[in-house]
Amino acid sequence: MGLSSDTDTTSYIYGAFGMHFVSPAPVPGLSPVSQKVENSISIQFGGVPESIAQPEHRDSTSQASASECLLVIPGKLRFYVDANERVFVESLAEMDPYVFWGLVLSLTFSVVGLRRGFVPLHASAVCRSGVSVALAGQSGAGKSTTAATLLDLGHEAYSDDLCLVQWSPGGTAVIGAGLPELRLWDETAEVLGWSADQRIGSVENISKAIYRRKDSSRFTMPLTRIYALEFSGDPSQHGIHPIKGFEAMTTLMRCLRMRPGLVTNGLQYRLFESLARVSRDIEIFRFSRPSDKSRLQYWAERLAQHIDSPREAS
Amino acid sequence: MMTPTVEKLYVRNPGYATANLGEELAVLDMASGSYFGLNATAAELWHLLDRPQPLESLCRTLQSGFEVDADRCRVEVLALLERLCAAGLVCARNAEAE
Repeated sequence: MGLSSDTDTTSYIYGAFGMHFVSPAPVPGLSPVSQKVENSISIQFGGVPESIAQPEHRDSTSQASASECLLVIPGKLRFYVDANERVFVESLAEMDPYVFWGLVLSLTFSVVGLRRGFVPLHASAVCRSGVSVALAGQSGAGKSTTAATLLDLGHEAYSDDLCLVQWSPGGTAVIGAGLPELRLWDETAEVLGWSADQRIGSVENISKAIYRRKDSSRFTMPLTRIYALEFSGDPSQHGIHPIKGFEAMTTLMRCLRMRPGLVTNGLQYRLFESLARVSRDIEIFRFSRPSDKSRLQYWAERLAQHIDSPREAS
Repeated sequence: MMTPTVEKLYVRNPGYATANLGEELAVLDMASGSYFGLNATAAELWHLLDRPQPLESLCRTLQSGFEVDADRCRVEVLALLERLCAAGLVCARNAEAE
């Protein structure tokens, strides 16, 4: 299903991460919506400038100012967001389409989401009974693995690797459904008994494959808890521990899916306020467990029980 | 001959934003992007520092809100002010300069 524009170029409108975007090409795995949506982000191929005017931040792979952002993922793509939140992309190599779009959309929604006052968390999410929980952490913290283990315990995958925390008109913290996929290390998929037949793509140069999940029927869902994942070799640290106030806020800071340099002066205060709001509104826990994969099931059950526990009195 | 002691006045430095986190307060250094966390006592002190005040005045106000004797209050508030000054959040200036 496409939409004809004034220049007779077909474009496709999709919803993901709680926002809509218009693409010049079909995005694999996503179902287009049938009508124009206000505030949609426009994604275009080509037109990425070599540099931006008067950048506040500049390093070898990124430049950012109050209104523009230019990023290079070496050997993969160049990415630019202009002052009107239009996104321009240039591919630097042939890529698996799932990998390409995963990269483009995570950059798009992180950068534009931040500009709109949302919190881009490096997190996967699962949902059940109309609410979601986020599993946040830095690369290698076990976000997708933990989400995968919860699927066997009655939860549904809702987002992988990016959760964009935003607020509903009624003031409830929500996240949007991500791409209907989960990226798992081959070793983890084997431990969980996932069949190679379910793979729809693979990530170049690492033993990670992309698995298709079913589309969520909910565009956005309330976010009730965030679990900050970490591995620890110290058994006394293992468990699920509530964290509040400034500790919660700084924990979330470490889980942002955003290069620090791209948070320019104009965005600092907005991000600060948004992080404080998430820290106040949502229950946040530190989930510390051993990295031993033979204990995956045990810790998944502990987490599933915790997710089902009632909200603590504040 | 003894040199007369000049009273110091403490006040917040400009360029910081705050956000309430329950009893705690988060402070953002708008120039560097650094975050600071203030506990309940430090948050109370921060609120008082919206105008220049001497240590004695700060202690009197804080003593009325927290159950703490005068000597201990003075020592702890001074230590806290020194930490806030060292972090750049607060500055001390001579009362004579006012």
